[in-house]
Amino acid sequence: MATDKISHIRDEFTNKLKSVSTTEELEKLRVEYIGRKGKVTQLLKEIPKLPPEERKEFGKACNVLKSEIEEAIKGKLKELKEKEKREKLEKERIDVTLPGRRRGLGALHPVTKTLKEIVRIFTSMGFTVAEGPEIETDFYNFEALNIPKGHPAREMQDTFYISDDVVLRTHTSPVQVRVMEKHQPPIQIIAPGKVYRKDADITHTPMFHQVEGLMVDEKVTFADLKGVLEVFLKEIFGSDTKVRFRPSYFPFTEPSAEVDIGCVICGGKGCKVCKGTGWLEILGCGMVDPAVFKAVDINPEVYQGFAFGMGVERIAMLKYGIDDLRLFFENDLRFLRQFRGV
Amino acid sequence: MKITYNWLKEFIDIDDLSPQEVADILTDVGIEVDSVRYAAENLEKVVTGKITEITKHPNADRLRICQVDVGDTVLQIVTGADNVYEGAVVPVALHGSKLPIGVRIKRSKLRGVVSNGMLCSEEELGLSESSSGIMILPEDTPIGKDIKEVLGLDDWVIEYEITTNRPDALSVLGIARELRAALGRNIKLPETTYETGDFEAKDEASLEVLDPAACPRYEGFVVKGIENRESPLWMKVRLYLVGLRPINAVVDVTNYVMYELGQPLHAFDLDRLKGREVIVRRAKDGEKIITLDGVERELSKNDLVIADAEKPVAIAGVMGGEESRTDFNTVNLFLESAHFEPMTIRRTSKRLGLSTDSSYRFERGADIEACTFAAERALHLIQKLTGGKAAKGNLSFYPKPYTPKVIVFSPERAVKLLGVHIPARRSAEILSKLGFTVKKEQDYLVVKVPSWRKYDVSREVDLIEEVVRIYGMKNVVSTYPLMHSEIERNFGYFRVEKVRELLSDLGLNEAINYSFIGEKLYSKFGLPVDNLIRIKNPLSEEWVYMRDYIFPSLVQNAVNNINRNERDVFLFEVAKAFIPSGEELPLEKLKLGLLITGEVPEGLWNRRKVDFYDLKGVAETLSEFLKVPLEFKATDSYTFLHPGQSAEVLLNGKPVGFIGKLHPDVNEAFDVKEEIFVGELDLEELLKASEEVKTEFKPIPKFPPVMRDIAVLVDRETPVAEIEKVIRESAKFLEKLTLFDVYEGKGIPEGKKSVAFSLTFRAPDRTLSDEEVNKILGVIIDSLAKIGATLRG
Repeated sequence: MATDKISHIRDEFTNKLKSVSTTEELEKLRVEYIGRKGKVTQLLKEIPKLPPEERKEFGKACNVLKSEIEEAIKGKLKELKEKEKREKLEKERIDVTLPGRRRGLGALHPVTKTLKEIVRIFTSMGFTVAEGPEIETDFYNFEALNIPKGHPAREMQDTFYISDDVVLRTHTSPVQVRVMEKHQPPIQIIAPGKVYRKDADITHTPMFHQVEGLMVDEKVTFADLKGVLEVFLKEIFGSDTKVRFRPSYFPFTEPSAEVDIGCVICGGKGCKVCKGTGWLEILGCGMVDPAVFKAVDINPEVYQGFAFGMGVERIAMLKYGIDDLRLFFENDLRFLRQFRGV
Repeated sequence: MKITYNWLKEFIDIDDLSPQEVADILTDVGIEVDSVRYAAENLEKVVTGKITEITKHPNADRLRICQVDVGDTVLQIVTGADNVYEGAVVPVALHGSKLPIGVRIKRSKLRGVVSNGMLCSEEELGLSESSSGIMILPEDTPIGKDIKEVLGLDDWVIEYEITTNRPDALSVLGIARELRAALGRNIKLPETTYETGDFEAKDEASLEVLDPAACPRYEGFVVKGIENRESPLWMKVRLYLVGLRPINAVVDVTNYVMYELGQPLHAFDLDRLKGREVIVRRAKDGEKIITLDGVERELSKNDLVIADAEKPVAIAGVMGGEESRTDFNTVNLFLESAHFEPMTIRRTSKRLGLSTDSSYRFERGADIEACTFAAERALHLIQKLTGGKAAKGNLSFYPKPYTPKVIVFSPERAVKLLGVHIPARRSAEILSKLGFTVKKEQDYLVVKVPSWRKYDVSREVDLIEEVVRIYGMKNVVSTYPLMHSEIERNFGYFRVEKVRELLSDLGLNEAINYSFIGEKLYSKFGLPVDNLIRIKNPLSEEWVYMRDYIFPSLVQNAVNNINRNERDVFLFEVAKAFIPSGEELPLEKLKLGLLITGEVPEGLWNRRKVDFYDLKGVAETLSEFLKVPLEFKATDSYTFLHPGQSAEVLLNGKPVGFIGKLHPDVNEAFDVKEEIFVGELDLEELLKASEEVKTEFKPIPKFPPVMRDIAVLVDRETPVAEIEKVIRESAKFLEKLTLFDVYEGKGIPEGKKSVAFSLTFRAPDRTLSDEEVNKILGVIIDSLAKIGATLRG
């Protein structure tokens, strides 16, 4: 009789458990059977009323039932929790293709980007950055650089004048002079900055950027100049860049050379950009002229060195494929934005 | 400058080198070749032919039918030209021929008559810009020959540029000298013999040089009895190929010799020189001359002229005079071969805006020793082309003959400078092939400079350049120097670089504007230009003054972008501002200009208009980044800013710039409605302060913080900064003060606002008790009461 009761409760519980679908229902079920007033608990309370010979067995059976129910509930609870977690996660699903929350990057000017690259390469070689004024005296811009009044090189560079003796610097070379006036060798500097020439057409803007370089010591040679510039050009234009040194003329260097690189557009076959020559003129350089050393009181019998100069816009145009110089100074956002990021 | 390959071959044996190879050698030694062009490009199947018969065209009045003997056959060709005649030798474009003007000639019918080709004009052969009628060739021209050979078009034009120090290379001879050195070969000089008549130059004319400094040499030659005419084809073609226009035989010869030897010459019609006098003197102010280009020019006392007994007949070294020129009637001529000082010629050429082949050479420095040789070469050619007899002797002024500069050249010094071992023997060989006289002493060379390099080479280092350029820069093996500079790293430069990166990371785009501005731009901001640095020779009205503010240019950029429908404009620019200093050079200060306008993202996928606080946020981030404490004080002193939305920016109490909304008047001046916020900071001051800041590690706190929020009621006008200041000054152990609410309206009395802060307290040595914190709050509240702030709720 008593065992019938047990199996009845077991069946009843098993049935009810099947229909349970939430943790709340499960808790209700637990209370109904094994709570303080639960059906199984009640059964246990009946034990003392049974005849002594039945008590042991019935008690055992009840305890088995209780632990069965406990196990079943535990199992069901785990199952339900899993299910509920899954449902919660499903509910929290979002559209990951919607755009993220951000302000967006601005851009560095392509001249700045190019300049940064140039400066990085030279400073990693051991050059220091030097700067000088953009408005210069005739002495620093011309005289000390071996370009006396009436020199044809003055006509090569159309100059903006502030007064007879003050000009907008036409190149970054005066920084050489200022540095050498202050420091005795060894000197290794580069001087980036704005320069000005009275010229405005499709290939000239009245302001542009240059980087000047100067290295002076007792034994700095023309071969060293070649070495330093080759490292630089291969770094900035790629390790397979062809480099050519061509004798040229600058009043403040002797010997002087112009440096060409194999055309980056056509690879040297000849195209519109390189005017069919396969070469692009990229910078001017040479060994510092003794006259310049004399102007700054450095003894040319003891010291020697090289100087070089390059146009930043020109390099930026080649690096980024920009075909109109004037774009650099129009500050059109459709242009500037293209240089965001790395 | 252009020369031709065949012309060059007359001076040096280069048969084994193609024109392109020659060009490459020249470029390698410093004569930059721009192009090498085949002269008869696109000229095929054009031969010489003789017109044997001309008949009228049956169907067209203006056309004529020619029978043309082209050697192996006689062709019928229809022509529209009226200068042809029976017996004329002409260029004939055969069926299937190609012409440089870009056409192919085919057999065709013209008004029903078969034409087996075309008779050509000079223009059609690519020989001149324009021509009238068919080109008539000399009667003795062989028939059926390729026109390329007959005209000397089987040649290459080499176009090159010289650097300003190398006028000696402005001739076929000059280029031949370069090749002589580069190739180690010899050069041949051209024929210079001529016949003299039975008369003396000194009896035919007189010479007087009044300014020996400006004219250190003058050689005058006389030729009588010439028959001036058109130059022969070969000369015309050669002049044409190098870009010169044939005039008449005498003029053509002077040009030809100038291109050949580099010495400018001038031929006067002797009979047109008044008193047969030649005087080299300075012009008188106001003196006038009509030059060969037909322009009347007024001279000044600085100009050197060649004058006859009465007036100037040529501007020395620049251009001859119309009146004394040679033409087809000239019988007797006076040939000038002189040397003029570069500065004199440059000044005159520049003043008159008149640059000629002659002035181009003289102002860079001609070869003083070449005068006689060039004149003799010209006399040879003049005689060959026009006959006549030269006078015996010549009129010569050359008081100080050229004495070459002597330079000691140490091969060791060259090695030290170049970093490559060039043997002394090789250096000596290079220099002597370039025309230097070289004598070897023990361990150095004694070198004499040739006359044609006197303006350029005067020092040992100049000789080193000569050696290395011929030795070949590509043969100098690159090395890498030892670096050891003692100059300090430039702190400021790299910090500016970082500031640029920060600003672009914040969403601003970097602008670069010209440093010059115009009055028109500044006036839109009510900014004066009177005190700005002014360019004496500006390119345009917009570019007259050196700017002392950056932001006006940015506003212009923003307006341009807005007008292109780019409305969200976030810009910054780092540039020098130029401020008069009273010294020779102005003060240059690095400034930062800022501008924002348009919209920014807000929440998820919404946008809102930018306002003052967006711009202020940029300035604050910069302040945090540079670790310099910027303060912002309301101001209405900038007339171009909104008086209620602008702030002075202070650094340790010192003004370092401003931020604010653009005044509506400025918007009106630019005709834009968009709200624009601008700022300008003295970046140099900020960097200076930043340089002094050191990042120093502080131990991480060991005890927990205590947090409290307070809300206070204050007058609406009280700046939050003032409340913050009171709190900071009165609060002990305050670690952090964060504003989290500013509210006016419902529940707040009229004219008041509620301001709420979150305060974090922490003691370094213990956990603060509630009691302690309440005490501190009490002090804060008491202090706030002094500025009329009361605790809310």
